[in-house]
Amino acid sequence: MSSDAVTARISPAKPLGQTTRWLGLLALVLTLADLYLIFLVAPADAVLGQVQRIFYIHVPMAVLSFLAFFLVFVGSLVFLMRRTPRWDRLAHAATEIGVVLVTLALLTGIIWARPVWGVWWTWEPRLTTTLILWLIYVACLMVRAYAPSRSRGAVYAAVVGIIGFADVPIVYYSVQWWRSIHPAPVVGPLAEAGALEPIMLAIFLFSLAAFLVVFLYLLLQRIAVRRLEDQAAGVRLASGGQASPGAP
Amino acid sequence: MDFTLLQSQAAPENMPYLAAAFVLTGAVLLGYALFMAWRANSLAREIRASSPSTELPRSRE
Amino acid sequence: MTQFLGTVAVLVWKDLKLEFRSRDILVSVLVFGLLVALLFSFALKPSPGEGARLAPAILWVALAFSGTITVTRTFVREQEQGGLEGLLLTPASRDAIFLGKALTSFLFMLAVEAVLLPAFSALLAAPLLSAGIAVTAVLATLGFATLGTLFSAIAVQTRSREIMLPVLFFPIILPLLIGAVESSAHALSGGGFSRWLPLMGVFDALFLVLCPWAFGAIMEE
Repeated sequence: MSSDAVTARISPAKPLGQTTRWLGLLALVLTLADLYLIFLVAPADAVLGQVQRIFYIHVPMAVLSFLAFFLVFVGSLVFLMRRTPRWDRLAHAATEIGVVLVTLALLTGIIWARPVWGVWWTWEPRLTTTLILWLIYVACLMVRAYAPSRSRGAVYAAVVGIIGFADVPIVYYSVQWWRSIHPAPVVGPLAEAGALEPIMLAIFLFSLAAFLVVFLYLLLQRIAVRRLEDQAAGVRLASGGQASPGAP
Repeated sequence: MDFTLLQSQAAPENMPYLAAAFVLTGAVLLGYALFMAWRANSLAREIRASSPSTELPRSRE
Repeated sequence: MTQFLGTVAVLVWKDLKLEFRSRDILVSVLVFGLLVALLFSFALKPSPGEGARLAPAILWVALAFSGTITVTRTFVREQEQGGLEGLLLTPASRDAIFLGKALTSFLFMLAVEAVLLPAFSALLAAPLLSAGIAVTAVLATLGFATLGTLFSAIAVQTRSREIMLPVLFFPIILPLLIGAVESSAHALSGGGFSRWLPLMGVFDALFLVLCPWAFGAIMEE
């Protein structure tokens, strides 16, 4: 009976679902269009030259990692209150993708800093904050992996997700006071007018949208995989702890 | 801003940095997506394999 | 409310009595703190005038490490003999248990600091005994004990718990640590109370509210 329910929920040939597949296709198309715009349409920066094109991927990834960590916070909070696995799946998927994005934002930043600032790394507030953020969410994934059981790992990760998110503004202010070469924001409410050429702004916004679709695709895919992981764990448990052939 | 600095920043040796950033980002994101797709398939296979025998005829024949 | 505080007091008193008998936490943490100062002195080789400049950094790294040991020991001692399960079976609320543990760690750390501060001011030739530094130490220790207790409650449950606590704890406690170092440097240069103290106060207040709640969530399992 219960195993019927298990098999009913997965479609063996297409475990990811129709929406996710279409989103994946859209993500691919938008990414290719984005690359076309970044390399063939966008002008080279007057001061920074060709390498400035990193901007179009560096900033969207940094922005979306914040969105990911916000989702971790929401998922963790609701999970601790309702204890339904759905919210833990969201928090888990968002943590993992957030860590991937923040890692890439840090690495592309490091690669960009070398030719522009002459150093790979500087202890500038935003870089330092981002590094601390990376450490917090890596710890969040570690505590889940090292917990004595899946259910406990979910609770511990949720606690770290909430505490870590609450800590972010304080980290930002303290690091800001502690040190202050990162360019001032060129988009968003703090931007100075005219800091970014209109064509550059338009391509940046397109890039942000493309990355948002990629982000959503990865998130839905990761949630689906996590659901399968839960089912596989349930199946393994049901078969009396016997390791099934495909078990990792 | 001083002119030599401007020259050095727009110099062609910056191209490897640009390429490195894009290749790295593309490889990681694509790799992650492909790994997850592979994992979804292998988990689905495992769940099918260990589901009760009553399910098997339908999926095998 | 008085009953709640009574419960917390009983829990703290239990841990203090245990410590008076065994003295295993305070002595080992104290020796460890002095060792860290010693290691830094060898590594950095401060010339006579430099002690005051390096003192805040050495002091807070030493206190951060010894504080980590304090919170772990306070929790592991309970864990090792199944004391925690016992505590959870008593009518004491989760909040009282958490605050009891946090307060115990807070007191232990203050006791260690009371010895280490004069020792460091002699070793590093820096005037570390001032009101500015005392307030800094109290605020930093409060946040340290609060978050440390929560994270050691998580870390003792995990595999490789010795590494899990610092990995979880240090990134989150970092603003408090920066604040403590900067505020101590400010006090050492004769500036008195610094603007970092309110920030540390906000940090403490935030986590004094969040951590007991999170502790309750962990212990529901």
